[in-house]
Amino acid sequence: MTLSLAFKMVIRPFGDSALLIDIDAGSTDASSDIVMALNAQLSQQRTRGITQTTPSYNSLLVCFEPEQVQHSDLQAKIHAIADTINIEDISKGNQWSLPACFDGSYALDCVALETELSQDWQSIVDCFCAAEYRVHAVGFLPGFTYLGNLPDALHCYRLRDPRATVPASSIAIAGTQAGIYPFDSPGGWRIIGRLPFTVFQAQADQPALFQVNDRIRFEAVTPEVFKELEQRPIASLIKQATRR
Amino acid sequence: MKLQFVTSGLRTTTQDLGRPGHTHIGVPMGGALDRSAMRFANQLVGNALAAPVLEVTLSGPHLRCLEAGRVALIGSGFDLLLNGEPQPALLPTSVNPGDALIIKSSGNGCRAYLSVSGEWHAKRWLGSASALRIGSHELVPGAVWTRGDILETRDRSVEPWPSALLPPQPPSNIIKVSPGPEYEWLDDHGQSQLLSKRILVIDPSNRVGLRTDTQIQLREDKRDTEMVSSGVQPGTVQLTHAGQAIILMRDGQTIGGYPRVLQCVSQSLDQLAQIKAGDELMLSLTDS
Repeated sequence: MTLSLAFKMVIRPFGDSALLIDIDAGSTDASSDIVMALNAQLSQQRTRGITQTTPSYNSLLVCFEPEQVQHSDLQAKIHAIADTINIEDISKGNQWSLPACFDGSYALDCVALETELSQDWQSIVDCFCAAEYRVHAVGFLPGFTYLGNLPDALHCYRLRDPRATVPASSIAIAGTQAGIYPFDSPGGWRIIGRLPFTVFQAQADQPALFQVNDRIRFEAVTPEVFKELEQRPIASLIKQATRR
Repeated sequence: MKLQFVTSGLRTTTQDLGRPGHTHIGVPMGGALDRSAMRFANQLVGNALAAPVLEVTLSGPHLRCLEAGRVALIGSGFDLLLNGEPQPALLPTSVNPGDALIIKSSGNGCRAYLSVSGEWHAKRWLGSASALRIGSHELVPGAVWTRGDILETRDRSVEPWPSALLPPQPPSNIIKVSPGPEYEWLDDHGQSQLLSKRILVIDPSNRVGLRTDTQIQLREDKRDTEMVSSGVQPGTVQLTHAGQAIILMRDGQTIGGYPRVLQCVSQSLDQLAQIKAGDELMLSLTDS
């Protein structure tokens, strides 16, 4: 059975060698579905001239070689593909249950968030761990993981002055989003915890651990358990944390 | 041929045409910032146009030749000295064991490209030998050259090809742009502040992006709009909340949350490679 999808699509030129596709399907989740389905079909059909695509929430950036394909031809091709996509085109992501430590030493913004959200730290952590998050995009930095479905009670402001260094594997929230930092890097999101392993391994077959449409839950562990997990080989941790 | 680094220069890296096809996991395409210079340098020594080269930034390395071969340096503002003698521009230089090569900056260039004849043994990551630094983390450590390192290529007896490519254009600080997805978020005043004005490039400016000293306000009704993060590309001009225009370069981020007010035309990316902090540039709308 194929389910046809209802959505609005706008394709615009973005420079001389890219197109930007904006999707509006009523909600972020529904728009994200269309973006993922469209992206899957574009890569499956090996559309001539496309060099790379960048899905992110409700948009898809399509870069192409102008020598290989013309703007207008590619645009027509995308419209034709969009007419035929269906729910089954969306890749089934992995489901993850990730051990994470939300103790004060890893939660750099613990005190400030207690004040801003008018809740004690334990209820903030409980609330964060009760939700299931969807990976809407991987990007900005290699492996930076953008998560949607942050509970309303945890929506918060970005830092006015971004930190010069956010430690690698930090879990962060900002606005209506959550995210995971792959490397030590500057960052303005609020840091609430940390994972005991890296989420981007350059030398692995799949360098980025998380892919668009994965579902992630966090499971709070004590600092003692966290330190023990940090010593474990990453392969065993990942195996334990994932299920299809 | 074989070359040893006596000094490394400020930052000397291996670069090729980069690694397209990985932006969905946040890995930028990367590669030589000035591709026409890279291709031309390769052509002069008889290498494939897409072969790796050394990208030199601001100050060049001193090299000692251990095995004979050919090299060519392309990049205005840089001279190649062989045993102290300046070499003619736009031509290959033959070197022999014991020769000293110096890549000397005359002060106004930003990047130069040295091709080295023969097949490189460069390690590749995601299909490319190009260095990539994220923050302080080197994702391709073998592509960053330091003192004492030895660069070795396997000789191939191919004579330089007859000139098929034109030499790179002389540097220009006039950058052609087209409107970006959020161009309309600027009012007439904002547009006039950004376009056809001299704009100062400031530190930190690097392979990730060129920062500028602009202070440009968005249209009043867009000032408090938080954008949903969306794809960006090399040459995208983003405007931060503080009104600073940032031009993304080839190692730049793949997704951004700031308005993308302009997009530099592909042809101008090579020109941007030669612009450094302290230089001025001008963004000029294309006719089409």
